[in-house]
Amino acid sequence: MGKVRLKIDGKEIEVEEGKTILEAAKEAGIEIPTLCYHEKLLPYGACRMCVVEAGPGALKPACATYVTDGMEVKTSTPEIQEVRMTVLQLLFGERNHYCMYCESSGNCELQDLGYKFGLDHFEFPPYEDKYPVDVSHPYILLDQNRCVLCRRCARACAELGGHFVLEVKNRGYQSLINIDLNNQFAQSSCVSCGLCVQVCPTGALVDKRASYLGRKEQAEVIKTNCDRCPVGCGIEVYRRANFILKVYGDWDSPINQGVLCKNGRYLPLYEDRPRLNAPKLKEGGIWTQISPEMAFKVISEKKGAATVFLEGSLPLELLQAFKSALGDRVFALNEVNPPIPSTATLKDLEDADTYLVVGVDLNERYGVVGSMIKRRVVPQNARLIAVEAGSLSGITDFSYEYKDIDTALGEARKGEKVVAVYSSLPEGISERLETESGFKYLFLPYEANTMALKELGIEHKVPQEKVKIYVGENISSARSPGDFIVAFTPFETPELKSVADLLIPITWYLEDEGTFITLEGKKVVRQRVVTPAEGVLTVEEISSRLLKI
Amino acid sequence: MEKVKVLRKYPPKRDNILLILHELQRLNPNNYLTEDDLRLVSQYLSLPISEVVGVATFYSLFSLKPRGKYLLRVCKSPACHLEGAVSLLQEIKNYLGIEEGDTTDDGMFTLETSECLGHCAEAPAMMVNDEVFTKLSEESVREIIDRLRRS
Ligand code: SF4
Ligand code: SF4
Ligand code: SF4
Ligand code: FES
Repeated sequence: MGKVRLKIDGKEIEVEEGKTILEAAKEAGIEIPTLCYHEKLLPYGACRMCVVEAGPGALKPACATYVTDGMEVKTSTPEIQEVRMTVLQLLFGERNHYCMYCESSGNCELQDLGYKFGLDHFEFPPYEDKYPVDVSHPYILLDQNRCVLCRRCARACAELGGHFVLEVKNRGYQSLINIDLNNQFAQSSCVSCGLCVQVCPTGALVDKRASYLGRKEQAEVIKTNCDRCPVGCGIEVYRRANFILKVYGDWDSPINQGVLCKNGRYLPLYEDRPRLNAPKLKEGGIWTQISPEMAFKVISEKKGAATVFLEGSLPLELLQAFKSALGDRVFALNEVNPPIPSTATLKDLEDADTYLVVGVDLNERYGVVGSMIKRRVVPQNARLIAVEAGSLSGITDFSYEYKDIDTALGEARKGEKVVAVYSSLPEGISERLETESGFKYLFLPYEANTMALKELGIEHKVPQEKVKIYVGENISSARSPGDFIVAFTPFETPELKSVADLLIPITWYLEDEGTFITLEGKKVVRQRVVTPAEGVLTVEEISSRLLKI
Repeated sequence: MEKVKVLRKYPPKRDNILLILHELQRLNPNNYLTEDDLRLVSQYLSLPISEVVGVATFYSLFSLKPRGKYLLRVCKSPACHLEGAVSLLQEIKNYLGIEEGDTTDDGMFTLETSECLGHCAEAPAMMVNDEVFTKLSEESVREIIDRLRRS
């Protein structure tokens, strides 16, 4: 890459070719106001807040104008400031920007600009028209009255998420955010990844749950990793007191670069299964609350006959604790071994020309992997061969059933850089798939910490013993006469209560620190963000009690 | 099917979206694009449906609502404005009993406004389907409408 020399506000600078004026100015420490610009999105040039003088008399948007050799840029002459002020006045006047009624007040880029430019009145008669509000989405509210048409939402949905749900419809002052075929949000193809909310600079797209519960200044933002699946995305958790306001994607994370999925952003905050807050023992069909000491005494008595079944959703430390206490009688509740071992990393998804997705719906699970693939397939930068890939088959012409696996493989072979993506595979299919010499393989582990089970050498086994100790959040079990069933679990569901004899409460999600091994084999740490309720046993407490049984 | 024939005339490239939308609209006796048309284009060109809607709603020559047999487009550019386009538009609204953007109940007329028709020297002007009428007055628009109604 060549270098380009230019002058910004009289300062001689040298930057790499292909940079915009905005980026060059940033490097030189010169700030230019922006609104529609977003670092992670392609330049768009919608708002004109960033206009600068580049060449005599010509005002250009700094965010969408590339530097050329010998360019002379002025970023803040009185004329420029006046133009920006007018732009801002127009933006404020066009729709409803009465900040005091807006959830985003105090956390809005438009408002920030208003203060910065000292806006103290409406220059133009403020809005009269009313625009639609869409409240149908379970997690998101879209208020077009507060939209500045920066199109960041639509760009993020497409460029980063690969979902292509949003666009702008109509034109001029009648422009609106359009969802699919003029749909309501709830009836659309939206996968609830929440990216649009994360990038919206105003109060047009807001997070329903976090609304009116506190501003960014009142919250602490904790960077950590998502533990909902083995991708292990970087997240920013907004905490106020002992309450999680919302979860945002961490733009700086090398894993997901800000993108999240529904499972990581929304589902855990909407969890509504009843929590277990103290150990409980069932005797004669009646549940009684007991002390942790009692509970572990029961376990200690049953120890000789007990077999432990661990879910792969648990942190490494807890898996380890059970393994050291009960040794070779510890098994994985679910499958551990990959049908075909991984040879690819997430990086390989960036420049593949063909994705062969087999037996997994990436809109439902491993959503961020889905984004990495969809955002290249829909603009036709790569092909998707979908074999029983659920809703993903809707974006490709190459969609097959298992019985047509050979045709699918033949189609995939036409690519030069092929990555096969799969989780569990039915018998017969993995044998067909694994013999492809030209393919790279990306195995998506079954649970968030399947890789840790593997590292600890814990094998999967179907529970058949009489005395079973289950550990996890999604326990279900059969029961035959004479069984004794213990569950270490965060939730006391009626189904579980109908089969278990002893329930011991454990921490869940961001209540405890713990290590997870991602699908790429990286160790990431899930922080403790909130304190668990009294009575819930932490990983540390369980570990030390297990040592003594 | 006729629609599929229209699509096949053009290679499935994004650049062809306007040509295809125009032909599909012309095929429709009510002169508009149906949801099925939009879906068809989205599928044929492998474009997200939201993008097709974006394009189809950007251009005023496309409509997503059924339109009348005669499409009246009254010019609202400065020259026509100065020559009384506003009262002309009002007269048409009164005479047809509809608002801008609407279609008469008998399906004969749809009333729209348009940017400059290029007949500033003979303002005010309006277009009826592909024909331009100039130097209009309140009487002459009523005559034009009556004539169209009889034809
Ligand atoms: S939540 Fe995600 S998929 Fe849905 S519209 Fe927003 S960015 Fe697109
Ligand atoms: S909804 Fe938000 S992000 Fe989308 S265009 Fe409007 S202001 Fe921009
Ligand atoms: S892809 Fe997995 S790790 Fe990433 S946000 Fe979704 S559930 Fe969490
Ligand atoms: S920030 Fe440059 S045009 Fe909007």
